[in-house]
Amino acid sequence: MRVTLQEELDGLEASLQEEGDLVKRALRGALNALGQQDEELADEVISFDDEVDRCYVGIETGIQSLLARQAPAAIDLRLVLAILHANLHLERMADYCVTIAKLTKLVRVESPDGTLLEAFDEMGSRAEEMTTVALRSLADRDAEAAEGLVDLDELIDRANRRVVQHVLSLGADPNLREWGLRMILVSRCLERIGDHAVDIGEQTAFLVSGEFREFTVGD
Amino acid sequence: MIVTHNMQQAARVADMTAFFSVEVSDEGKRRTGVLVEYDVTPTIFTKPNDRRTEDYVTGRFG
Repeated sequence: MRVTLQEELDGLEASLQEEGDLVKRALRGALNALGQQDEELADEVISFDDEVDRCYVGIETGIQSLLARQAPAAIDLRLVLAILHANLHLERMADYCVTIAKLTKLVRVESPDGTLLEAFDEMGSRAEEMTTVALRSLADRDAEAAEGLVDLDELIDRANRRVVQHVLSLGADPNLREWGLRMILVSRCLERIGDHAVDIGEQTAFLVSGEFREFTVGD
Repeated sequence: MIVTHNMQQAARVADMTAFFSVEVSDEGKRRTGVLVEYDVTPTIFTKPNDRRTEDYVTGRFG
């Protein structure tokens, strides 16, 4: 057995899990900044993205090197491809956290709508949970748990639709309406983070079965 | 047809790939050549059906 190949694969998987932890920290920070309208924390979330990017580049470089030297095949090749895709998804999830932080800084209101903030807290918790499930199922090679992400995603999608409906009913105050429009974008970011978690789940199913398929058609 | 131990060569040139191996009897005296798996080359190198093929193409034995 090529020990060095196995060690490299283990290292890449460990790095991916670390990247997932960073993304969850960014998400929590973005939601706290939003809820407390904390511009300083929003700036920290924006700066923190550099750490995620460093992790992303490290994994990308590691994969490039491994492919050039080790010529992985079969399950090893599928694992490398799954890590490659999951790495990109995590990096995009962190970018959505940055967008939430930037939107937080863009518009401030005297008293943010409590219903929306509660909805975001719920969506954020679900997105965090989905990230955890996506990475755990990948580590455990658990395709069934990975496909379960579809149900969790449906809950975020529903909350997203509720947010849009609520914003439409916010009233005539221009400042509040502008804030509400920004919050639709925040909602969209959280919804997309959930989608990326599902995409990572699809990579787990590919790793286990050898065949790629979308969990849901049309998403 | 080529016969090779060089898997990258096989993967590059062959449309179809067969993996042959040797089974050794319990007492270790008799060695028998066996055809383990035969399929289109991409399948052999991405998702082989037999665990022995997978172990070989991933370098876990041989």
